[in-house]
Amino acid sequence: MDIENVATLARLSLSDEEKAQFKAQMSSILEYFEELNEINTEGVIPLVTPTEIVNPHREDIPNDWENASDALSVAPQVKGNLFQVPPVV
Amino acid sequence: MFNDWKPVIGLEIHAQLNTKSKIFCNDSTEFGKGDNQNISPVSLGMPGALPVVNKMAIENSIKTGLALNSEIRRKSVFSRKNYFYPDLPKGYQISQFDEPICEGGFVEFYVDDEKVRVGITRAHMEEDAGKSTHHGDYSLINLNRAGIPLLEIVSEPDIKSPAHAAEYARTIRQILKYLDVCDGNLEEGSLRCDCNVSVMKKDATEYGTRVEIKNINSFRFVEKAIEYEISRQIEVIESGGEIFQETRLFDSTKNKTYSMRKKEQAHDYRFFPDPDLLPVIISEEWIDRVKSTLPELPKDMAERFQSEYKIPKYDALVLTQEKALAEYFEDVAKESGNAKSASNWVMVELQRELNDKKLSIEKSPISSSRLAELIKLIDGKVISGKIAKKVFGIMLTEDKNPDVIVKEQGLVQISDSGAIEKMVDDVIAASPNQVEQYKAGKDKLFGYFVGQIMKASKGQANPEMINKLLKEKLK
Amino acid sequence: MSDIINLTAKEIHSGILSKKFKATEVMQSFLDQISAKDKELNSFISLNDKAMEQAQKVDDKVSSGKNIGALGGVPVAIKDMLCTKDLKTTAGSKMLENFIPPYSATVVNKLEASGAIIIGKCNQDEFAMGSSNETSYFGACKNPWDTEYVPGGSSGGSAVAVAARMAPISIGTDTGGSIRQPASFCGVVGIKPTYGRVSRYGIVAFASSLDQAGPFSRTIEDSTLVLESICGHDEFDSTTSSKEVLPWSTKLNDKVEKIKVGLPKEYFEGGLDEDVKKSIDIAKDALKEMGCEFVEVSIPHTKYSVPIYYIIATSEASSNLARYDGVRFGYRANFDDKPAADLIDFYCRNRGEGFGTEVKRRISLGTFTLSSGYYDAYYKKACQVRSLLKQDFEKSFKDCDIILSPVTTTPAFKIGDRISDPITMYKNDIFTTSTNLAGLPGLSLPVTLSKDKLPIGVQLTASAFNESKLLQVAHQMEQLISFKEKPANV
Repeated sequence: MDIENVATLARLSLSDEEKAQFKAQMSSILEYFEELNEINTEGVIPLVTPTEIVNPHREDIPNDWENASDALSVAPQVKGNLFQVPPVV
Repeated sequence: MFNDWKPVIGLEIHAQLNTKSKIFCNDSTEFGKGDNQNISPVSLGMPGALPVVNKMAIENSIKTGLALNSEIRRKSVFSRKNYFYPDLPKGYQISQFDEPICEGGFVEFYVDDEKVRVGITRAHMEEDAGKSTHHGDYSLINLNRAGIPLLEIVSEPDIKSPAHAAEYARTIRQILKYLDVCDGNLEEGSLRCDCNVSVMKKDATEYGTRVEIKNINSFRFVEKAIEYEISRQIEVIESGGEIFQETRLFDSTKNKTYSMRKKEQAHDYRFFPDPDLLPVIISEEWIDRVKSTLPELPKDMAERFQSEYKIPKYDALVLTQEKALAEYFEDVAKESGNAKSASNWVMVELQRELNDKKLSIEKSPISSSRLAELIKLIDGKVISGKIAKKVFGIMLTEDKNPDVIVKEQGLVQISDSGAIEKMVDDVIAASPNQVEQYKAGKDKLFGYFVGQIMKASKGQANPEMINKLLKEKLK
Repeated sequence: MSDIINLTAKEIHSGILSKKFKATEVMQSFLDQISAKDKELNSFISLNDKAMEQAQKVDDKVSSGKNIGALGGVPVAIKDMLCTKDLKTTAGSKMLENFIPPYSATVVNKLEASGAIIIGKCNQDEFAMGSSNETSYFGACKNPWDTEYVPGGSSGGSAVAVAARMAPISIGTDTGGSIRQPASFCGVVGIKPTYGRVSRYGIVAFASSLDQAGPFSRTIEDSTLVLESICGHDEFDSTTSSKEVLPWSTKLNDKVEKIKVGLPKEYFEGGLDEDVKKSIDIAKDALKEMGCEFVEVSIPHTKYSVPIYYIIATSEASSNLARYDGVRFGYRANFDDKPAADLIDFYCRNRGEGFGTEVKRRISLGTFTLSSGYYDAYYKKACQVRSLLKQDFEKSFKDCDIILSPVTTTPAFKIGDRISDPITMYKNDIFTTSTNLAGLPGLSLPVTLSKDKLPIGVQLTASAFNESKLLQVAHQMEQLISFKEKPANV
């Protein structure tokens, strides 16, 4: 497994130590996962979630959230009412 | 057109479904609210927040699918498209991947009298991202738009020319507006159009490398951008170069497409079914219910106008371009009982005025019933066609019924045979030379007499009666 | 007053109602116990500084004869995975060290509506990723029976709070055993309801298709009261069921007739740890006395439950934790001294510094198992086997009403013993993960002490939405087993 690529994909900076450790551990974990290949799952529909509820829809009714300003107050950096981040282009 | 090259064009149209609340939470979708005002834990991607689907977004998607002749999947699935971007709060976009709500389908339209059909691959629901604005050494994020429902309509790559592509996009917009599921506003971004373009030799069997063009905000630019891109690709290949799979942006001032970034990052979106949302199950009854609410679509309406109102195909196509216009015309036609005249007034006089003032038909200063009234005044011989144009001009600026204007300005057509006879007599008496010449066989002079009488009546004399009386008197 | 902390929630509630003592006295007793014990045990990350004020309001209601709710005046400790409006919620992570949620989880709202008072927020493994409470950014939480041992995890703090009489009831979350395992290690009752019984809205998500919140208490009856308060459909969680929540607590003593208890043969095949075997034997004796019948059932895919669990849980987690990016809330690295090289660097540093090692390990694993070219082999395959595992249970529940099994392979282990060996740590979850994968209700009931004087519980599992029978059987077993031990030091 290419740990560098995975770390970039997951946006995680890892120390060299973490990289080495993860690489070793993950290869044995993945090997452990290989056990699943013993089972023939041809035609088995994957179970994504155990519930069987049909159509839990919401009616189209808008609502103003009274705590919108609280939400901005927990942000690391804002300018006015906007979230601020380093330049993205 | 492109020598021995053939373009392969496909469009991805993102239509903002006009629901009142967002697709997965009840934030308002109102446009132009203050910064980060239409937000909530869900649209902010707060820890623990969960999505619940807006039923209206599903219904609007079903509606659109039916209008595009698509199959509506009985079970469709929301998946997560994972990628990081500051305007994407959860770090994933909820979209549909391998089980979209609509599959297959087609639309038909006319280009230069030729009927064109473009296939639809699929249409799927997804949530919009927020908006980033860039300010040099920082960027700012507004999440008012995050979570607004979108329906992405993907065409088959079987569009044959830039003009067809533009017309296809217009047709999709027209249908969406007819269905009242999207306001179709390209400038506000409620309709966005991405074009996939590649070129191949006419006899080739393999497609060329595909380039995606984004950021096109008018249908005219769809045509221009694709035109430019085809030429560019042919030129690159013919001069020994290579086309890279990339995203390009269209610069409408330079009429060119340009590369978005140097190197396209390899995307790995890691799609998987969203366990927070259960599959969307759509019953036969639900589809039938939506079907029963479908309005008449433009194509059907144009055909009906031709047969029901006996107007030419061209007129029918123009009048059905916009639903509001078509409805306006139909109201005028019905109320006036004169479809031909209604079509002429709407297409010529009214459209000219609206175009000049850049007004939509909804903002027309003259209501359909007033225009119908005007036509009825002509047909009832209360005013002549010429006077009608004058009345129409007044109606544009004054909020009055045409009969009121006619009365106030004393424009009622003179049909009193005594009064007209007197005018005829006066003109004949005042023009002995002309009478003599006419009688000597110069028939053309008849028009001269009519003109003189009209002038004397300030245009209000009934022309038919003038003709009749004049002919008798000049015998 | 020191007696109050040994009372059950039910006794506390009725004591307040009958004016035997005040809600403020109750709250003060528990706060005193926390002051006395928690320095050592580290089960709370933060305390609710409005707790006394809220208790006073309950007292005011009592004196003016107003309704105080089914849990009126009862202090409840809440795992720090549940958002509490205006009260710091960390998920045990540096990432959320200073996060004050602008909203509360539905479970929290429901508890408060029932009159319960949040006493504080409990320690846990970071983002619930762990089985020992050692991955918490706020330090390990300790087992009150022997502080050299782990309390289990991930809801370690919630289990310890109840075991050490710092709260009569608490709330945990269970993704692969995170309520049942610490309950067993700490000698308290812990229940994971059927998936879909309890709203996940406002609970920091680890693995969406597995997470379920549930109660800890010292009696089945107390947990039942909590369940009655927190279960039920929530319009903010699409996966909650609208199945009726019955007044289970009034039926706990109803005679359970002709109950068939299933013993999955795969669970007992390799032989059990001596202490664990003892716990099962005690449970069996009680069930026999109740007139239950035992049947052997089979869950053939048992051995795969841990790999399926870890693939699914890490895959979902890799996506669920993508929102912690330092843009709208949570940890942001210091970019003043060293500006972000680009957007990727910005994210990598926020996340790399904000998350601990176990979280990063699991995010990496889940990112890999979902990635292009591996999805089918891992995520999809795991979901397919999950489907087979669920069918195993459905088949078994045709032959029995309740399944009896161990909770873990061994009693609590020592702090530091397994933290460096993820696979051994993961394999410890063999008996608990399958319940989450199949979405079933399960609980851990304390039955005895090991030779090291550490508590051991047994696990009871029922078919989906059959909490009613599960609670009845557990309650009646509890009466017979009568486990009255308590940690020496509390």
